[in-house]
Amino acid sequence: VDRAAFLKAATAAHVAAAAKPAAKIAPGPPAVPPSMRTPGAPIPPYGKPSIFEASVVRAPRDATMVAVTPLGAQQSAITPSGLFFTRNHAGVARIDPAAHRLLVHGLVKTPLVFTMADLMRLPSVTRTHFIECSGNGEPLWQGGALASVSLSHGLASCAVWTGVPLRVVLEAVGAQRHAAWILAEGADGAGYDRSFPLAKALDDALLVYGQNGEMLRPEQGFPLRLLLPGWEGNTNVKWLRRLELGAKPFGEREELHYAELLPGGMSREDDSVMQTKSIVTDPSVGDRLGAHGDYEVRGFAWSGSGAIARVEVTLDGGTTWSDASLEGPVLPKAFTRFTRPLRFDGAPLIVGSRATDETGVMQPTRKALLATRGVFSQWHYNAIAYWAIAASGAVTNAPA
Amino acid sequence: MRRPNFFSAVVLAAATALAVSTLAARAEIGTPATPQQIRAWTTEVLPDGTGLPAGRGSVAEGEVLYETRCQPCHEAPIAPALFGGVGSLARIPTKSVNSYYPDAPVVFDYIRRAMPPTKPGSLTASQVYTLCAYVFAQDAIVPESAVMSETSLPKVVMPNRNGFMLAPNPQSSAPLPSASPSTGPAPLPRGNRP
Repeated sequence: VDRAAFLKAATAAHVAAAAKPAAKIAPGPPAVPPSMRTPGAPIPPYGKPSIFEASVVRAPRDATMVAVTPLGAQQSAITPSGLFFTRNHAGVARIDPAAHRLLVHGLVKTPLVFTMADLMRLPSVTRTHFIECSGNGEPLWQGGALASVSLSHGLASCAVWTGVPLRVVLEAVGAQRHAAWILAEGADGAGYDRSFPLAKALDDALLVYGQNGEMLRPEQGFPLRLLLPGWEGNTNVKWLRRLELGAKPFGEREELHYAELLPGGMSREDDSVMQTKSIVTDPSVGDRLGAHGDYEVRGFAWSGSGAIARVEVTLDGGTTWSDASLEGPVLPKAFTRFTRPLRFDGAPLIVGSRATDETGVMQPTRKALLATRGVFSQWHYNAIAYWAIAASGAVTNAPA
Repeated sequence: MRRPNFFSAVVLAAATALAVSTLAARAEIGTPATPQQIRAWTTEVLPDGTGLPAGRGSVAEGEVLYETRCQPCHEAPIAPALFGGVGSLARIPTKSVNSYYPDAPVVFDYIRRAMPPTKPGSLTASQVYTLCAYVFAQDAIVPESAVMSETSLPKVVMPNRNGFMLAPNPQSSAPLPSASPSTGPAPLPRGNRP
């Protein structure tokens, strides 16, 4: 089913349906609510979301391995630490920071061991960056339709990270001239390890200990993780214990696992930059618009190559597009929130967004993506996605 | 107009680099690692077999261990397939250890590092060699009589040994370099220590 036919059929059904009576207006709350007649609760030492927000949680797809961010409920570009998506390979490691060490060795002049106290004395920076799992939207390659925007796009989140530029630590150990790759190893039950090019380390890599103003959450690698801004999540090794410099890729299991299988059978390694992507999170599949009138389309856009330059929104399934407003500051390799007014009068709509980054790369259509990648790719799915808004206001998946 | 901008950019970059290295050098932060520390921490096995420990194991021994420690998950299938699918990657792919991994030492490395998930690091080197032998024998990559060790494992010829290329590509729908495992590019450089 293509989107035009889908929209046409939905519109015909809408015209055929008799005009419904307006919903009866429910009685309002009392003029003086109970909260004005009773003293408030004591202040909790560590604040939690309102009990009325209890449904806004990460959806575990697996108790220890994967949990997705509820993107449809995210109110700004920053993902709350407790809702940040998590992908582990051996559960959440429990590490005492006083006993944690980072060894930096291999093709270096002076191999060094750092305590957390050592690392926290080094010059520090704070940066806002998204992390996206390369498997975000994996079922979509083969045309799957998922029940929520969390399940289809929620293996991506964005936070404010604090730590040491990796370059500073590499200067302390002194990389040898023929060093070109670095193996990063975590202290979890998988001994999770990945190698990446030295050039990325010298560019913008960070050794991170802070997240959104506090120390890292255990699920994000407490007390220390690697952050390779814009690169697929699995390169951002958590519970970081060791960095080994070498001359070539280390060829570990994880870099083979996350290589991109192409039509023809070859697999592409070092395909780590997450490409331009955007998604309308509000409204999204599973929502229902109520009364006719004014709404706002909201969503997030990001690119592993730099800042978002433009986001366009369609209300007719991709026939016409108009610019969305980008909410500043628009930062490189970070979520950018976008909005656009939406008028819903009961006529069916098909809503979607497409982003373009500062390097000029536009988010591809599904057709263009599949033309070069086939359907067996698994990783880096970033095609334009659409939601259908029916005459009833119900929001469902629309063909991409 | 370009020259002053370019010049000040260079000066700024140099000043920044100097500031950073001065801070790192002056801080004298971190403790020199001893060779013993480095040896004890460096557990990875490289694609050319560097780092493989002494040990040996047969296909038959591996079968017994596989059935008790691996099969419950790997044929559930809670965990990915370990064998089968050889030659399938260009058509409808079945990725398994035998169909997908380009070299044998990485299999040893991963089993020893992460398996079984309930007790990672609990298998002896010889037990890991038996499991490698058993897995490879399921697709006749090695004969049933094979014994895997630190000398024989790196010599195992994996079916997909030419199936990987290094190809960074920041645009997901851009044209891709054309190659196939049969026509194949040069194998990736593997192994990191002299």
